[in-house]
Amino acid sequence: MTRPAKDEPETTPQLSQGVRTFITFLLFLHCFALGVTVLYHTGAASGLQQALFSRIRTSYYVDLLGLDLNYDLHLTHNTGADFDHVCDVVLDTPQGFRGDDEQIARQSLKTIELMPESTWPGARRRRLLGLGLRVYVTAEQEEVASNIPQALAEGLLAQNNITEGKHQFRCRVLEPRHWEEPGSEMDPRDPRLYRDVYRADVISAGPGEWSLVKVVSEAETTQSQDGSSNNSTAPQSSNQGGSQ
Amino acid sequence: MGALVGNYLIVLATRFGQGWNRFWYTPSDPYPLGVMRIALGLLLLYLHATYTFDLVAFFGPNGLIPTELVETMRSRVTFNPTYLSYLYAFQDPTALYVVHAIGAIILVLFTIGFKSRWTCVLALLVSLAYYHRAPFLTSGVEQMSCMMLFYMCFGPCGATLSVDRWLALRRAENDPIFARKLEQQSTSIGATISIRLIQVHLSIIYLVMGVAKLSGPAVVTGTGDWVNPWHAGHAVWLLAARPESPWFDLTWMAHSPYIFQGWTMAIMVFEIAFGVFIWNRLARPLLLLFAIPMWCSLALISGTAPFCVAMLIAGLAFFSRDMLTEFSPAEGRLETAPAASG
Repeated sequence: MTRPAKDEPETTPQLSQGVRTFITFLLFLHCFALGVTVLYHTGAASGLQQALFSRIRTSYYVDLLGLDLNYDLHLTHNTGADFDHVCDVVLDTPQGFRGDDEQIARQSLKTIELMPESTWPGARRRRLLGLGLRVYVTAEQEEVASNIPQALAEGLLAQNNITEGKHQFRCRVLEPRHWEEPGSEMDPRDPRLYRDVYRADVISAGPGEWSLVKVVSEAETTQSQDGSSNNSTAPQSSNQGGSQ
Repeated sequence: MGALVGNYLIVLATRFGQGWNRFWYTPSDPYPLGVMRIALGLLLLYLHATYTFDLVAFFGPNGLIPTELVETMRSRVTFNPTYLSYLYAFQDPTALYVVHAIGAIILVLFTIGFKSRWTCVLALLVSLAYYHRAPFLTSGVEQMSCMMLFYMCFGPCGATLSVDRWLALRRAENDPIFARKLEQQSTSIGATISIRLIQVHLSIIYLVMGVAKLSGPAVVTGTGDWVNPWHAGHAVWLLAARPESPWFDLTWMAHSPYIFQGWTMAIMVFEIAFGVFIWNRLARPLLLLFAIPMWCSLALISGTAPFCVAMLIAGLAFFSRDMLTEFSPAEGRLETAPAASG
């Protein structure tokens, strides 16, 4: 590997001093960019770390080559971004639809799932769960919250040749129970374990065109009236981007 | 006193320079790159194949990820690297399948080691094309793959275990001058730089993984009783109790908390130990062996099997043919094996 080969001088003069100096300079720059990225992605970044990462544009370099370290480094921190997020579109929702599975079953409503249960485990499943995560992460960023849901809803409806009607897009999360709580043996896919994180009515705005109107739950309305919209499972404005 | 300090600084600079040159510029055997090329090529082919079923659903005319969406979302974070992804230019299903097939051919050529210098760069472009076209779909495995591919571009990844090597050996049979040249190329500085970059990057990743687990998220809003699950010991439970990600139902662990608590601790200790002790030659085989059950078990509970495989492949950068002979009793070198790093 990296040890000197047998009967080889310790450093074979295959490179001139000038070339070696140039390579060393590039290696230093590369290591500097990596170091800044590491500092930026481990915990809360200070002003200096943020400036190095964004103003000196080391982010350009690492992002361009896919060398960024903003992925699943922690696996879980027990925040909302670390759980599974599943999305679907409930078709032809009636007035006052609350978004729960019981109502869907009772009224025999059809759904289009972003990730059908038959999806293979592995890369395909991770990609679709990743899409759900992005919906969650952006759900509370007003200006972009509807961007991904809009694209997903439009795509799912178009792929199923649905061009009209009123439907509902849902993104749901499951927060795993504490292991000591009764019910930890419940089926992990039990519908009762899911919680809505984003719901929006998908309303036809012409053939094949849709507009999204976010559904605000009663709990959210109460919270906003109290001026305390944050809760323990709200999307985090973390620079780690959440686990994927 | 001034002379003493000055002399110390000169010695420090000289020794650092010697160490730096030894670390980066000692020619080495490209064999690990060959092994990594094959393993990484197979992983890339798998990732590429899994896109086949969803290619039109994601990137087609009514795709879930229209180009406008990516451009809107990406521009908020960093500059738009659109130009590196040729996939932005295609929406027609037939065209998408054609470029997808060309990408697959490039990956096959890279895997078998045909014109490796070129196919390695092309394989990187193929991987980056999917990475930049659909950043919402990517996870750690894509970034690990891009990292390895990028560094392998600097080394002779096709110098061993490849079609290139087979063709070169055939030519050397009839061409003594070429045979001598081929023998001289048995070690190279390019291989060292390539392998060292992967090693350094990988050990950084391991250390950051450990530190990220211990440090907690950047922001925890509106709660005073948040507990770091890696400290509390139930992180593995939280992973296993998710409904969609794990490959097997392991919620029976609720009855045996010591299992997931020990597992949680083992993951943290391993990741931090790997980042530090992998540079010790004696500890290296042990850590590489531990990595196998560690990542295999994590694949089961996290559902990120491709990422776990990528981590194992990256670990091959620390593997060498010397390792097998160095610790072989038949070689009689066990007692004299140096404990120095490197």
